[in-house]
Amino acid sequence: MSKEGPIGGPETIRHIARLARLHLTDEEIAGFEPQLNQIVSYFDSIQASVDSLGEEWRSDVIGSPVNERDDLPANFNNLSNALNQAPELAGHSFQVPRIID
Amino acid sequence: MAKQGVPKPTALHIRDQVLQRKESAEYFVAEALRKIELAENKVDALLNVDKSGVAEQLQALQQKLRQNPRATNLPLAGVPLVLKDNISQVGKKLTCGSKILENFTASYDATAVAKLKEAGAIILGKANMDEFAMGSSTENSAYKKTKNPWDLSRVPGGSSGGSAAAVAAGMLPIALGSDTGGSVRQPASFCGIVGHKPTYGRVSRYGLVAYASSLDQIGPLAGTVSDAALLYDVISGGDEKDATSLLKVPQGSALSAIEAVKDLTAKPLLGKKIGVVAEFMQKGVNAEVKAAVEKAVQDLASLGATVEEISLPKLSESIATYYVVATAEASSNLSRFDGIRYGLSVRDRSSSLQDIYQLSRGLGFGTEVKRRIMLGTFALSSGYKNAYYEKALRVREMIREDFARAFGKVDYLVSPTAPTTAFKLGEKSQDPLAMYLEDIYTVPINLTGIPALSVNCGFDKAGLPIGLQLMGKPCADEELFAVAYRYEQIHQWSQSYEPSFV
Repeated sequence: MSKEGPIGGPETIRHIARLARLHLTDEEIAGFEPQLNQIVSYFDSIQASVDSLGEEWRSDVIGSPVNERDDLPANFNNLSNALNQAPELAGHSFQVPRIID
Repeated sequence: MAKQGVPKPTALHIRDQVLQRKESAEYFVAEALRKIELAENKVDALLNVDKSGVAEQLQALQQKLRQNPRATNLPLAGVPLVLKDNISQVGKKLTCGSKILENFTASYDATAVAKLKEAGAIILGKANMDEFAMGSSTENSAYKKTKNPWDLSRVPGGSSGGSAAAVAAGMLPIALGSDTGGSVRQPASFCGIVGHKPTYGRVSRYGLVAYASSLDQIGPLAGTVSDAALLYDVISGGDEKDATSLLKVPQGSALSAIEAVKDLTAKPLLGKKIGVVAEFMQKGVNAEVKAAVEKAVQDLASLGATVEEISLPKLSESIATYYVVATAEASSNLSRFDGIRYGLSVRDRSSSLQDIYQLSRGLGFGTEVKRRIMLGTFALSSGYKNAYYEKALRVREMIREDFARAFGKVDYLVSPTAPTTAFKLGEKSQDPLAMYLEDIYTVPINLTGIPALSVNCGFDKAGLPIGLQLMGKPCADEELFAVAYRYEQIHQWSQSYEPSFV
């Protein structure tokens, strides 16, 4: 029995695939298990990184501002382009399967 | 196989000939199409050649030239080029090298493309790429594998391998690529041409299909530094449609910066300091690559610069940091491909919503894309987000601080662009981590947003090109072009060697 890596075994891989909305075959899961574990083990090197930033530094507070336009209503004039490659339309809406039973 | 360089028309030459009415745009475009026909079945650089679109563009250009016989504001008049297929051109297919977008048509022009059209350029078609820009060899394209024109058994690099190969094979003088972790610079290095990653925010990302939004930039690829500068000047500039665009920084003037150093008797780097990145010249770099870069550093010193060694200790963590950040951002960006609004949709009457999502994505995405989405999803998932994603953002900031400290001591940094020359097709495609480690010199530049250029600095014993990477402070793009131009003039590699196709 092989030791599980930082990601874990097939069940965890299936869980991540579900989160990512990806259908994987059993073959793909078997292939990904050692690769993803090897890569995430490599990622673990950043755990050992000496942190010199200090407690006040937070990624969501300090960073370059993005340009924003004024918060005013605007018109979208490209409806046909937004819809014309849809697999299934219902009028001006994208048709999806029933979600609520 | 290299032969004595044959003068190929540069973009500057073509536009001058067209604007001075000495030669027609039709002639240069026909020449490009002829060269594509000669080389393409060997190189496989392109996903499509748009002959009807070309005819329309030539007509539009002729009209502009007729209406304004003294037109000077067409900096790319008649210049043929290709776009990497993740850059949006209205009415044309936009596949990103993926099956999930096999029949997708772009509904608007990227800002960079609108600027190219306004400048009179003739877009011949789309270039092959690693799927969704994820890869360093162009082997991850769902459509074809591009070959390196210098040795057809080798990769051109990636993910902008098609764009780089098309230029290196002499099909056209310039092309657009995109660079998230080295995807313009590394193929430029493997293909012996010039590749530039602009300062983050200097070229609009509007119309570039997002891979990692905080890292992506569109960048020029060209056979000469001046041509890359010309293309950069056209596509750069603030754009309100891109929230991360640097609105207050003006459009590029790299050609002017090159003009200012044209006197080859003068030493343009007097008073400037060049830092050789110590960590990049230690283990892991091929001996011939290291020797060529060391020689290039001596050449730069002959231009007047003083050279010192600079240590950037946090660089050892840059690959791990990059792959956590990039895959996390990619997992979010690629969630839009869901089979509901566009793209491949796998559904029948019994499909649930989850079925449509999972099967469309499962069938439409290739293995490397799935691998990176999985890694990113994991790094952002509950229980792991702090350990991986948040930590990576902190290390990224420390890498930025390392570079800022370095630029307090020197003006430019140099390194090899890649640790090796072009590897063989299939050599690294079975070992994802080995492939990721190819990006070691390029990813820190994307993490920090600084500009960087790759120029050819020699060849190895097998005749394969070696790339020199020049790095500068944020917004120092123009200076980098001037330095690269003067370095290029020392050896003029493109006059001495080229792949023997056209």
